[in-house]
Amino acid sequence: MSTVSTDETFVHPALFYRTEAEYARQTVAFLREGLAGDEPLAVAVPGPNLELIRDGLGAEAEGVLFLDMTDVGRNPGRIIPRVLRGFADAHPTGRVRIIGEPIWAGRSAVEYPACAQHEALINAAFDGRAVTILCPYDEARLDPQVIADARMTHPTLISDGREENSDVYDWEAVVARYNERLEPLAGTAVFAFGGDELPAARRFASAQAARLGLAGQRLGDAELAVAELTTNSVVHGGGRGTLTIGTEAGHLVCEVRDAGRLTDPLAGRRPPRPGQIGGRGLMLVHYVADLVRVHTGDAGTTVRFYFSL
Amino acid sequence: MTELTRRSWEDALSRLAGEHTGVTYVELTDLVFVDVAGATALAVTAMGLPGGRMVVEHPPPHLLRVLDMFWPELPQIEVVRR
Repeated sequence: MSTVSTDETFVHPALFYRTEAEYARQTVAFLREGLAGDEPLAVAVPGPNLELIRDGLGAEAEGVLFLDMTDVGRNPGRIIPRVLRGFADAHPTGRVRIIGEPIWAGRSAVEYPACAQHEALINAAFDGRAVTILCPYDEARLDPQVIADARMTHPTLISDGREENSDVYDWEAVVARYNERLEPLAGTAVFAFGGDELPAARRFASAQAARLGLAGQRLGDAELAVAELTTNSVVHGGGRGTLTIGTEAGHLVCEVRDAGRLTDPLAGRRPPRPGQIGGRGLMLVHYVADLVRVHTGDAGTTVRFYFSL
Repeated sequence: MTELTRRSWEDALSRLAGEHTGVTYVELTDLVFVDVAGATALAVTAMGLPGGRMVVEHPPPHLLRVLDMFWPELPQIEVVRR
């Protein structure tokens, strides 16, 4: 006999679809199950798919939270704290039901490793919680490697209307595989810092970001993000580090390297309680940036964040 | 306000919180920058004021941005913008 109550089990199926009709039919059926059980419902998928679901639900769409994932989930690193935990924590009693589609055909090769790690980390973030998250995958347009990864990051797979347990489920292997070394940025400005240089590092970053085209609140956000990462290096990463700033494919890129090692895979993705001291620095970087890539290992940690220009 | 000055910032805030029972005024005209730890100290101090509230005068824009991100609509803090 199982001692685990099904009410406290995290349910995380991948839905592989090939047509709009199949997408609408499956997602609407999933949401209607939730409506029948009085579960709070949220849908975070790319804009056009949002409309398919809204149209399919008709009058039943009232009361469902709809979010455009290309906006709220542009940086996959903020989906867990801001979108998924944000909704689940706002409804602490009973099961909540969410459709989350963080990977679409337009995701770039630079974004994808962070997307795959995000999908893997959902399993750690919601272990033992009464939450159901369905993740649709466009099998007709996504790379076969993306589909293969989804089979490893989801314990349950739905394809052609049939549901089965994944026999290759291993989210930790996906986190490890996409912990990729980050090649040096080309044509860049470099600043080495220790604790005494934190204000100078921030001013350096601000001046470089402004020179490269960032302005207004986005410039202030980049300055905050650099301040948090450089402070993390001083406090947790061996006391010093190297800040590098450049551009890549229409993005401002800021990178901080230090000698530390990130051991908590959910660092920056666990929303802190309001009165908690600490635990917000990396989360702020995830909130303000369009993408965050991390490489960590015995030789040190590199965090690189991107702002579209 | 950075890691270098965090302790003196926190000490100043806790002195303020201890001295006042009604409204605490925090004047920040000369402050250039506050990081997340500094904003956290301010928010946690405000939340701990016994029955009081905090008026934050002329803070740097970063402070408002961080408060809005992690403590939206905190009832104990009133902001007078620059």
